[in-house]
Amino acid sequence: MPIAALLLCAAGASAQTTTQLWANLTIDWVKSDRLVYELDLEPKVLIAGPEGQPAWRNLDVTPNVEYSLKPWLDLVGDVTVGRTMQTDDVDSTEVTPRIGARFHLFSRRAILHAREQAPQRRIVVRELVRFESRNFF
Amino acid sequence: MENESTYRFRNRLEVLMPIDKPSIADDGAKYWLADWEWFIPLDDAEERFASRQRVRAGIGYRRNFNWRFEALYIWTRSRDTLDSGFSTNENIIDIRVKRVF
Repeated sequence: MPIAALLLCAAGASAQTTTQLWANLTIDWVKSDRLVYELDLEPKVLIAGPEGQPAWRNLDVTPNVEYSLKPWLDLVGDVTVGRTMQTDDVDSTEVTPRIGARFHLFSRRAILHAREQAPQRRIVVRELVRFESRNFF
Repeated sequence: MENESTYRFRNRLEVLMPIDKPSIADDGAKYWLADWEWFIPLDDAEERFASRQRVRAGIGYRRNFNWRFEALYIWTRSRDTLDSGFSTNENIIDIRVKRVF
């Protein structure tokens, strides 16, 4: 039992922990209450990390399209293009296309004279499932 | 760096609740939000259970149709195999601004 406890402590201590700061600037073009185009700019930076690991900063750009097929179902597609720069000069570029669907548990209703759908209930519960292909260069 | 490609499945469960208005879609609404997402690699059977989990929690403010703001705390943990413990933890502050046209 004491050995198991020591091993568990060691496993926890060996976990690498980082602290990061992210920001998102998102621009939406609402074409109708069913169709939205979006452009997301997301810079990220490492604030603190394990000793010996290089610092890094990153910028992801993600164009996105969402189509509301049903009041309870949106189809989503996007592509993230990102560039990460590290202090050890090991830089990388990522291209990640995604497709998926968002399910609105309590569905939504159209708002008269508005280009958006509102939730039917006070509490909103929804599930977003996506498949992605991550490519690093 | 060598080129690398992987396929992954992501599933995120989200909950949002207004604080001071009947609906999060009301102008001036502040709301709580929380979600839990897990990431599962698909193209390597050995890493099928290698996973990342992400939990986000925070507060949002819908000023009006055109402007929305959110501040989130994100916690992510990752592991390489089912047998190994979660070996990476990330603590993240995320500030989000959305402009809608």
